[in-house]
Amino acid sequence: MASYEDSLIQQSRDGDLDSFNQLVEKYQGQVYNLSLRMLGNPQDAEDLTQETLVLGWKALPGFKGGNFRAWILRIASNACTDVLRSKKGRKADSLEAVFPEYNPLPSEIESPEDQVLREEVAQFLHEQLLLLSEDQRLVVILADLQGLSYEEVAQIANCSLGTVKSRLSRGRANLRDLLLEHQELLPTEFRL
Amino acid sequence: MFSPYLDGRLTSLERDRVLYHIEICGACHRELQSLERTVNLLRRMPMASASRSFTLAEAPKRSVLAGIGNSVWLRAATAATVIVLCAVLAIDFTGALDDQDSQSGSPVATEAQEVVPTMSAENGDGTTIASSPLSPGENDAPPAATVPEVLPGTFIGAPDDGLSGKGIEQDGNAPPAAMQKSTDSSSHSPAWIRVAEIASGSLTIGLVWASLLAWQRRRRAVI
Repeated sequence: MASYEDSLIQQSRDGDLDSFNQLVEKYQGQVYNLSLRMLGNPQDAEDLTQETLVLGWKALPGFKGGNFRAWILRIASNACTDVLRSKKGRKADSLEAVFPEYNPLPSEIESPEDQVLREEVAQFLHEQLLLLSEDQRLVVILADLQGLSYEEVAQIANCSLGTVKSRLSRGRANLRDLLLEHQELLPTEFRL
Repeated sequence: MFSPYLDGRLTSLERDRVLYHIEICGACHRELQSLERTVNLLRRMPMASASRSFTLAEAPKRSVLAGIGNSVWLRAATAATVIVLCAVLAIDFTGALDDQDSQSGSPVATEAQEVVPTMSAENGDGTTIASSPLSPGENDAPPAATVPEVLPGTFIGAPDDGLSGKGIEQDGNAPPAAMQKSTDSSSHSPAWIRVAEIASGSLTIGLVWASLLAWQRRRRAVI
């Protein structure tokens, strides 16, 4: 029996834009966050998210089935690679971490002070992530920030499970070293 | 080893080895702790929110290639037409088909071969040798005496049957008939070869172009 998402995919494939927009609403947050953490800039991330979803609509007739989330995130990851490659040629336009917006948690869960603290730590991590290599950054974002399985990460990054493990291991270790170098910038309770 | 350990991706034996090692090695214990804190920080990192929604207001136009981009048939058809094109070109340039025609397909060669049993059957003093020209052994390696000698002034080709009465006379200056046929056919390939070359060439160009477009789309969009 096909799931609701499968039927949305099938209807989108047949040209139903409303069904596709339901898929967009479900996955746009993950696509945007992947783009944001890869590129560093909210404006670039928004442009890339839109481009990814348009590409996804166009390419949907060729979707062979399976994990739609991995499929759409792979489109995003390929688009990120293209943008980063084009930026490498322009030194002046190198990666710049711009402060993104975060969803505030309900006031009964988090006080305004805690929210500021959380966002400060997030911004610091956001900046340090941009110092990792593209390959390592991609797997760290997918596995740790988005909580995807190794198998999904391998599918999105188009590499083997062993490569995912090694990139993740090196990426985490490099990030740990970066955080240790600048840990005076972290609030005390977040220091390593 | 620590990274998959934190994700629970180790076997029980590997996990036990890690646990045993960090019990006795302070440096590795500290390293594991700092790595664990780093991973926890990452996992607690909040999701950023975009300033707008990305739902599509109108459907972008889809390419006709979108559905066939990953088709095995497209790749198979491209490979097949390339092979056919190579084969047709090879036949044309080497003249393999023409040689075959001149050896077995042309009336000249066929009739010349048919002379063999006739001459061998009337060998010697007019007695008939009762042997089939197709009997095993004889056909593969005919005795030297049975091979007709083509001498100047003799007719080869169509036998003088009294109806046509026209052979190609060997006069020493003209090249042998088989050679004439071969020379003519190498300069004038059959028309169907030309048609096949043009058809398979056009098809190959079209399919290669479609495959390249599909590859480019697949690279970006995983189709």
